[in-house]
Amino acid sequence: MTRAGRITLLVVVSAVAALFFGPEAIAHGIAGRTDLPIPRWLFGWAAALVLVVSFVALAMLWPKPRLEAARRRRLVRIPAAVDPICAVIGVALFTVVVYAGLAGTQSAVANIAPRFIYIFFWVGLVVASVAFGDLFRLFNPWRAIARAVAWGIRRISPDGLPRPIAYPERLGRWPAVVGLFAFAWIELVLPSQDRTMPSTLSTLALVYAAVQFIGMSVYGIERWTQRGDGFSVYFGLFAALSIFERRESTLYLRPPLVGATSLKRLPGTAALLSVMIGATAFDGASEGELWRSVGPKLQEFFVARGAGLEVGLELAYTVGLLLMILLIAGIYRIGVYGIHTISRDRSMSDLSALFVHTLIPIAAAYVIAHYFSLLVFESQAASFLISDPLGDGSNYFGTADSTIDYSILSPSAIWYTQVAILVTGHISGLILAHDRALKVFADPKLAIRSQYWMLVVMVGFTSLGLWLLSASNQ
Amino acid sequence: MTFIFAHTGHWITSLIYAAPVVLLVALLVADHMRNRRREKAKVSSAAGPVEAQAEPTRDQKPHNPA
Repeated sequence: MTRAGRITLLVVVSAVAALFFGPEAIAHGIAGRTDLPIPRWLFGWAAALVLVVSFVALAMLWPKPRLEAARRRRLVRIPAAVDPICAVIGVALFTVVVYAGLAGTQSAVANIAPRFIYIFFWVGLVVASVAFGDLFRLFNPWRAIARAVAWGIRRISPDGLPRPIAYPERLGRWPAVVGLFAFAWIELVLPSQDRTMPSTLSTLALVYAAVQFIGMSVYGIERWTQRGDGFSVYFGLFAALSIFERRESTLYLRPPLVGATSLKRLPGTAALLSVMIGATAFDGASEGELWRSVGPKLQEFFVARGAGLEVGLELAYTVGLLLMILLIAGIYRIGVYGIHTISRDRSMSDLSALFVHTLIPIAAAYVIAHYFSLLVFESQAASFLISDPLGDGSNYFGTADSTIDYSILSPSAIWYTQVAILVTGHISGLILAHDRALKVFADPKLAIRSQYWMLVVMVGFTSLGLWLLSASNQ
Repeated sequence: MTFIFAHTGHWITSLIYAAPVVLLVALLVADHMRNRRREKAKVSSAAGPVEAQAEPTRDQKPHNPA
């Protein structure tokens, strides 16, 4: 056996031992506060080992790019009625939520608006997008309204609408970055009573919709939706991981991850994914010991310089959120720099654009893993919220008295699922990076060498993710 | 900086999560340095004979009978 073969065998055996025999062997030796058989950090080490093994396996078993040229299989023709029906449902849901927020009770628990926005929309639609493709595009209420208005004007006036202004290429996905950062700021920085206040959320939803109408009327409905609308871009990126792809009026089946390889290389994409990962990461970090030590001191720092207590806290959280986003962007930059050391003829920004799609599964893994328990428990609230969306005592479907069953999943089951999601997401990132490297570099050995630092990036993101999950679970 | 260290004990144990990353980075840096040393050695061994040809030693210089 060659030296490389012996090393590979050793790594594989170690990984298997760590994952299967390690927990059993150590199980009775550690008296943890939870019912996990091994300390949480050991899961981080095992996950890192799994990534290293996956990297070695890819190097040995995946010698040619496969994803880039993967074929799609025609599945079914989508009936013409599907689009308008989904559009009407999307507009109706948007109307109900906004109306409930403005006219219903201002209790965040009883009103449908907070849960709909933070749970069903922000988290649930991520899972749905990864599973079924770009559903938000079908139900997007502001796109539906804009298309209906454009259709109506075309019917009335033979000249139709004036031609939209050409979207500046240098803007890329930057408007979406701003939109998503604004949402993350509201979710993570605003005081709890403000960010969950139904009327505030409804007003912000209307403001957001108004901004989208302006964007669509200036730059065109489809161009703005694909690049400027933060939520459309957000869910569209996750949908790229799905096995379903829609082209015109036909639904195709494709291998998983393939959609990510055809991501358009536009300015602002790395920043967008850094915001997506950074916002989730900061949500976890803000519940951990480190932030509990640093956060109040940062607040004191701002208060000492004239800010009020509340503003000081908001400033501290804003700094924390920005630092986390910068940390995520910095980690990715390290990976890109590692590739640059192998390929000096390509610029850093060129390489960053070439490999940025590898962050999509990581962003999905971060969101789904971090909010997994929230989604499982809080989505049950749909049963009573649908009967009483305004929280005024109505019982339209007879389910207003149903409750949330918190015993549906044990803490251990949640943790194992979160670890599995994180590891799967990062292995997917490794696969995408490996496949792209094989396309970029003609020499497979060079391609594998270029990915050493991407492996570090993936292990870094996995370790960070597990640390954050363990911090927020304690 | 005192505020960061005020409750260090609460979160310093979390650094154990970073151990795999530190190990990987150390391996990569070591590999990088070994490669650079090899390249330097190659360059110097390749440059040696060229210099010898350019600068012949006293013994190699042609004898001038005058």
